[in-house]
Amino acid sequence: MLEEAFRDQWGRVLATLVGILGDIELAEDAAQEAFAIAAERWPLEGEPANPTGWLVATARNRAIDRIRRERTLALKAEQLRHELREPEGERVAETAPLPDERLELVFTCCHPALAREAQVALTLRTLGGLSTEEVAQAFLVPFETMSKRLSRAKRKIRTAGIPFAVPSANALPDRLDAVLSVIYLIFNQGWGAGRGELASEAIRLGRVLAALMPDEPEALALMALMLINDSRREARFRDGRLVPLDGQDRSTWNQELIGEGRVLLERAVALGGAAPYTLQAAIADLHITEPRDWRQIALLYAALSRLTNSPVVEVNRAVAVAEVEGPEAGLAILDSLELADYRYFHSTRASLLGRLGHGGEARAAYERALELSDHGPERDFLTMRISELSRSGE
Amino acid sequence: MRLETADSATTVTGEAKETLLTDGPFVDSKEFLGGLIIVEADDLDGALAVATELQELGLSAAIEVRPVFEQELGGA
Repeated sequence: MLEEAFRDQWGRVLATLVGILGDIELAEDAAQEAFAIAAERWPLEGEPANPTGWLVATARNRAIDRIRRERTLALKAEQLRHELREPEGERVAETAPLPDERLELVFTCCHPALAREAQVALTLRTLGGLSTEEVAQAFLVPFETMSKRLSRAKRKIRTAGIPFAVPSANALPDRLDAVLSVIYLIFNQGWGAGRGELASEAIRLGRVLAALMPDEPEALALMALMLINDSRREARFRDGRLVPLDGQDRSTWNQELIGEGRVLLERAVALGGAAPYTLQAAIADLHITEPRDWRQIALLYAALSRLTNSPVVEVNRAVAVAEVEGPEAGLAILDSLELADYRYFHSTRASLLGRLGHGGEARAAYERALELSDHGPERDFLTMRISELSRSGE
Repeated sequence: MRLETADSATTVTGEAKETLLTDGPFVDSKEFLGGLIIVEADDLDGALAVATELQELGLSAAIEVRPVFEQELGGA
């Protein structure tokens, strides 16, 4: 219970502290101390009237104490004493309105001068409030590796002078793209492998971002996209097996998430959104609407393909075109792509070949997809398809 | 003058409107150092803006951006 409340506070408190202290590492240590004190005191003394203010004030005071103690940072302490001198003391600071600087923090963490994997790890750690251990587990790397990755990133932010600021209007679109890709990558990491907690984490981050940038269509659209996809979380697996959309039990789809996603999508469209996440959210929405409008889906994929130049989008367009014009038309699109290492390219090809009655070729394509697939449920699904083809054909 | 360590570096590559940032130093042993430009900037974004502009002139293969190591002068 308390832990959940802490998770919600963490990003907010940390961002404010980074704003005050000017250093992520220092802010993180101080925040950790303050949360530890809160965990001890709050259950006994009750939660303070302004928990965020209390945490920030406590952490700030701890940080100043620590800086004073450390001789090597003597000079910095001098500066901070001047900047932070507040005659009214702690009580006033606790109730004073605090600026929400999470947006500054997310743009710092997703700065393009950091490697993508560092951006992802930092965002989960600082805004998501995951421990280093949890971030390491989420990305299946040893604790040591993740710990090094995080400290290296924080060191770079400090020495290279990566700013703690929301980018200027001309740089914003590019920089926002980086933030959105980080969140979507976290979502897909969880979604693809059926690890719900990571998908939930991405939704939590997306929700914060959408609230902080309510007029940014792509931020709203990303949120819509994640919610609409996540509404099918339960339905995607049955007995540890992957269930394709058509075979899913619609009654288990989470209507509340779908509703929330649709409202956000409508707002994104009303704000003039026509960029990749808006298109993807619109496609996700069409996919769960009966009867499925494949023609419209194919058109949206075509628009998305023009924007992104992505061969992966073309694979999806091929599926939609196959539904409208027949499997041959879909295969013609696939055959123009160079995606030999992409497992969904092969599984899509296999399914279209199967529908045209080319059992042998379909089986070979499924086998290629299986070679490229690394996680359980997907492998089981492909193996099942291969054995079906072996039984019906030959 | 000293530069900060390699892990503080960011490399700018690519050409007009398509510049790309990479975390880390420019590593290609076949290349040589074509020049050194010192600029004053508030933060990394300021320095990267200058580097990107230079890159867009299409004069070089890559520009590595690194902070200058700030040192107190002895006795000062």
